[in-house]
Amino acid sequence: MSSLTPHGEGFSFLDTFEMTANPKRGRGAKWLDPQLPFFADHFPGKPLMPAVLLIECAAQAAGALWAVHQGAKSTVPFALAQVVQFKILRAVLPGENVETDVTLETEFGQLAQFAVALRVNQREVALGRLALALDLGRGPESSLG
Amino acid sequence: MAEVNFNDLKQLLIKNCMLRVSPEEIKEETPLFGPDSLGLDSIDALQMTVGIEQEYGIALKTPEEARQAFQSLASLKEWLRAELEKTPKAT
Repeated sequence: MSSLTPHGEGFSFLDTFEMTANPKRGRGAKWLDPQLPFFADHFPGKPLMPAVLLIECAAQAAGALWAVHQGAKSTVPFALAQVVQFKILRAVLPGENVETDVTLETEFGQLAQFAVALRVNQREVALGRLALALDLGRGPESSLG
Repeated sequence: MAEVNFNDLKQLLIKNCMLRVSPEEIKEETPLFGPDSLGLDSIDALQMTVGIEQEYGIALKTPEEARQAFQSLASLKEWLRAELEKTPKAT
């Protein structure tokens, strides 16, 4: 489902995304195919979802929410601008389905901050806050100028 | 009404923007953005916006408003003071 985000299929960490009744909240999901290549080396014999890719799951869900919130008819280019907070509560394993609840907290020009809660089997596995920037390829230093 | 003082604003700035400077190094009139400034960027502005809302309960609504308020700590203090005066007082 690469159309949910601007990423190519090989870097899509969002299988589905749905809005909630609250227009500032949504839920993304990603099934972690055990055949994903990074599991072979992270770690050999003890595969584990890399923490940076959990952040990527959350960032892609946040991007999908932002696109819907803006009324975009297609995917919106965005970049992860800041990991404000991110706490891993437990390991995530191949074959698990990661659900990401994402809430738009603050929009500020080309930037927005989101609260994220990642769950597997309804159990929280990570919590955090991320900031995304619209307009790929532009540094954050220019946005206030 | 919440008091606004420079030391609190300096701490807010250092914490939310992860600055590696001491409060003593930040002057009230030092520009926050641009040449000869503390070197903040728009991500810092977002974090200051979030921090101010958490600390004082006042939201900066637009980047233009932020551009005015975030010229320096002195302008931020003045903006906050004016906004707090507009806030209904608890009885």
